[in-house]
Amino acid sequence: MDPFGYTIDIPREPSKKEGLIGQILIQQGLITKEQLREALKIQKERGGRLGWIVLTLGWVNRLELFQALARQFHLPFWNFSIEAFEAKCQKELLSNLDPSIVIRYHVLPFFKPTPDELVVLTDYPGKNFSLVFNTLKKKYNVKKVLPWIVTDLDFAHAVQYIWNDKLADEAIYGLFYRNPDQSAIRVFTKTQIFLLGCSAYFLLIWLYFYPLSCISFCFGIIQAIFSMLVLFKTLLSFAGARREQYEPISQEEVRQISNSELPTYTILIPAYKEPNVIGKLVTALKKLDYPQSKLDIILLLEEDDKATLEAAKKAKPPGNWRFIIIPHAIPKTKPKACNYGLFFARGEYLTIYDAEDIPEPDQLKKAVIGFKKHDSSCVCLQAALNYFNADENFITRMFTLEYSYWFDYLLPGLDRLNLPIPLGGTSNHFKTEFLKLLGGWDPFNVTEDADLGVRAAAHGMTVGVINSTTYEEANSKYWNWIRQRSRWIKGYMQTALVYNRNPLQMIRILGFKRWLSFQLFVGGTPLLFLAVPIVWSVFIYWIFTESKLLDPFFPPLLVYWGLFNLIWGNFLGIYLNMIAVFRRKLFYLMPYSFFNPIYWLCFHSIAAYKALWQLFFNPFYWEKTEHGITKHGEKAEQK
Amino acid sequence: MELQNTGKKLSKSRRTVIVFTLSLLVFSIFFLALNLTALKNNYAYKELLMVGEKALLVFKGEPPRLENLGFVYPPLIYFFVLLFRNPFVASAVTGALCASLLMTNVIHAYKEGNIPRSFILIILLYIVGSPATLFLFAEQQSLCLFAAVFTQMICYLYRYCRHHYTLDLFLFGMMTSFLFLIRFQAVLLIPLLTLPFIVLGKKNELIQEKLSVLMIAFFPAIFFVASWCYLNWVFMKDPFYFFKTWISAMGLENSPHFTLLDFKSSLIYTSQQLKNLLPFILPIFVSMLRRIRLGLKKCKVSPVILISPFALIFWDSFFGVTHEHSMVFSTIFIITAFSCWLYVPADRKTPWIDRLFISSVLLSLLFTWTMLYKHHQENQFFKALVEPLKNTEMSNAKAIVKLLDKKGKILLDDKKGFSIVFFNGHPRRFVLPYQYEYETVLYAPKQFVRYIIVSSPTGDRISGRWQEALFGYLDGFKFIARFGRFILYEHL
Repeated sequence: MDPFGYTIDIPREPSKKEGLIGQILIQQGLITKEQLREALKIQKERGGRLGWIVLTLGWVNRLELFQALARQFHLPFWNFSIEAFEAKCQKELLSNLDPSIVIRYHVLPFFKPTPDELVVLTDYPGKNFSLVFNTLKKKYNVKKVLPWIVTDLDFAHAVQYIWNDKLADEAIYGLFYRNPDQSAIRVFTKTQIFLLGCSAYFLLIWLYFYPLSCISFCFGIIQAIFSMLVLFKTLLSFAGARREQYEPISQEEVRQISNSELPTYTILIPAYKEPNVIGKLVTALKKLDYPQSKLDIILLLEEDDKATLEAAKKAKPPGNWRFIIIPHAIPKTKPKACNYGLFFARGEYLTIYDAEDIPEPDQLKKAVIGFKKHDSSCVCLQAALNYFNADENFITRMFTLEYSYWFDYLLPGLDRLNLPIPLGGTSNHFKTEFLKLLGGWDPFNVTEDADLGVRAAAHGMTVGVINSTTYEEANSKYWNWIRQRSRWIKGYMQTALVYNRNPLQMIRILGFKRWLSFQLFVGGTPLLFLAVPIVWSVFIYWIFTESKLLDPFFPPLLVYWGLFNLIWGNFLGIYLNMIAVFRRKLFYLMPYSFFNPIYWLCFHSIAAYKALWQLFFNPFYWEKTEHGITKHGEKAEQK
Repeated sequence: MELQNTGKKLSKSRRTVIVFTLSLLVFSIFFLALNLTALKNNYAYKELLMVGEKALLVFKGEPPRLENLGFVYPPLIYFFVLLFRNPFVASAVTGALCASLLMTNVIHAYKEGNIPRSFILIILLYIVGSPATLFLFAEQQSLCLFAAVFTQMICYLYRYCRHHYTLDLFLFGMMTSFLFLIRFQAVLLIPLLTLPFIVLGKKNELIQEKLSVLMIAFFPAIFFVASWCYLNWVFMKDPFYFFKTWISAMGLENSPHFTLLDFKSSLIYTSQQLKNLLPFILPIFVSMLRRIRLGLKKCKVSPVILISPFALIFWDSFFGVTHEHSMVFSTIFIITAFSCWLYVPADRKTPWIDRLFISSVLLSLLFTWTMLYKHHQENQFFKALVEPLKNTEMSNAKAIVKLLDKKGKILLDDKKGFSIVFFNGHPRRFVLPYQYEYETVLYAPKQFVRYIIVSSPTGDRISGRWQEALFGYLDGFKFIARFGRFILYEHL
């Protein structure tokens, strides 16, 4: 089936003309023969299109390349401008046309100069021309299709001009339209409100008539959740620690993969008010050990963010970068931006980096190898995250310990036990087509990454991990940390609510073991943070006052269960954090693991209550984290 | 999800599980049969009765004495008793678990090529044929658990030495904490066990890394020691209550060899004990010989492991736990000796050491039978398997219990009289020291209780308050009977 709905044979038409692009560029005096030889050598080693190689090397600019392409294919080049496009475009030709098809096949019907002719704009001459043109002829009842060349950026601008509202609408509400049950646009469903209301009502009645047993019961539930979570995380840590015994992807495998085997890779970079760090990212991505001509880097900028746009332009990124401006729309969130950028992604694989990220150079290669090694149900691979400014202050040290434990032990443990993995914020590597099938990210979930990992599991797909790290800037200021963490916790609450709308269905799809893992990991974590101040308060009151006031509320079994959790829970919390330093040899951080109980109480719990408040009163608000405030910026350079 | 070699690995795991489960079932039934036979014939190891009584107070005490769950005494030995509600079943199952674990490790070591096939038979023979090991697995719950955890600890230590995997270090640390949670004296092995970590290490290892390794290895034990002292302080107002009460309950302060905190005496006692145990512990000397043959520099762990049982006797003595070094303690030496063979690759060049080891094990087995009469507890246990015993602690306690009517409160100090509470089975009838009203009742028993049971000669609070009770007289009460050290009075 062709893209426009017609059944058609697809003859393969190898292009014989691409080899001439180099000669055209030389004739135009844009490159020298030596440069052409070098580009051909790179093409032989790494594959890819010669024109793109020359562009990414910075020897020609976009306009010059596409003009040369036009000459190569003997096609007219059109200097795009919005005014001219507006004047010439026959919009009736575009009615009922899906923008994603236009983007995918690089053909945009433009106007009919005569009844038998159709002019189309294209930024990829030669690609699918036979298939597409035959289809267009039938659809528009013309005898000839006349392609005009425009640059890829102009092509994107044209698409955005026509379908901006539709793309924005799809980016925001697409998941909701297709699968409302998996969208966090509704925080609580009617059933959940009813059940929560009934539970609250029942508890109040119980509290009124039998306060002792009610409080004992509530406390007992807290202890039960705590015990289960501690045991679960300990088991995960054991499983994750086994990964030390082998490398999922070895350096030898990375060395052996041929550059010509590597497909096009899209990197989405959603940035908002990040002028300080965008330059570092440009440098970091240049260092990626991946053929630059096969990188499709899309910087996603909000309409009102001129500062970051100017900073990005000033950084002079190579030709494989594109800037896509996201139209202003509420919610103004990272997942919405990513969904919008997803329309324009060209790569077979796709990943996301934040503006302050510094990935290890071989990360993309490891992802490609990882996808080959996993079975076809694997839709995403998560790389580890860690911090380059770990030793800046107490907060960054605790944060680094926490992240090291999370990404080096917990997530590998989930992977090893084949349990759902909530994704981290960045460095998630996707198969692009599968990501589109899943519906992209949920713009209403403030931890869209965690949500996507669970959604993949809910569709019977799997997520794995790769042994590669992306370095970020750890929050070094307390309130900045609280803002960031409250967003994450709120997102976990949202995710837990969304995927508990149809628990029986989830159990059927995931299986009981995986469903339970999801409940403990995603739902249990915020609950734990909320419970910690309550239990500590009771304990501190009891230990300092030796009061008997609490005795009626806490029968002996409950007291001792609580004490057991206190001792074992805190012991394991500290001990597992101590283990976390080994894989990355961050031994100087070990003494800080003793502060784990304080970290939980004074950081996580406060963020959790803030998150709970916002869940009810401002569920979609995205707490923007300030970046570029580290005093250890030079360490980022060294990485 | 992870790529796995299915097939072979799965069937290997399945085989291990099957072997373990089968041996667990068989050993459980075997040891339980031994236990119940001995119990019927009036023998039970004191520790089992004490643990059983404490567990009874948890479920049926008034109020439930829940700190016994594990906040006053080392908790792990209570875990199985609380699970099965019966100390004899718990002891049999614990023994079976440990024996099965040992057999599984042995078979695994054989598959790895570390030991010849004959070792499997020898070890099996020792488990079921030696009175020391039979007593260990059937009745010595804490020592048995200690031996099992100690063996696992050695396993992880060897694995860490070989591969430097964090998981093995982590599990080693957890095992050291479990040792304390079974037998608190074991924490004193820690200084000895630090030695391998100090001399181990990769080239150019930073001091930070070495300290980190030490912290992982020993933080758990230190944490739990501190926690237990704290909990004892919270609940009993004495941070070392768990230690003192154990000595008192086992009657150790009355032992002629009580050498609490006396270094020189402890050293002398240790030498004496080793002399007594010498016939049984020959295998450990063969292990030492093997280690020397392999070269001491090759493995820095084995010397420390092999010295540990000797150190444990010394520390036990230094802290007053002297009576436990009967023949059954030799099993710790045997198991340690076995461990050094199980986890260290075999030396094919000197098969004569394998033969020497087998011979030493057989000799040890023989001596455990020929010298059984010299070791009281083991001797009593085996006699009880054949015929009923008379005038034992158990028979005396049972006799007292028979005389008690079903109604009326009983004043008792369960520090000495725990066996009576256990055999009675209804702790709510007793007025015990942990209850608020105990002091009141102790000073005016006529107003509150029908029976008083006094334990002689010392250490009992009732005889401490009413000394004349030791001589058959108690105001307001009539003397009913005396069985062994228990004296029963009834209200007039």
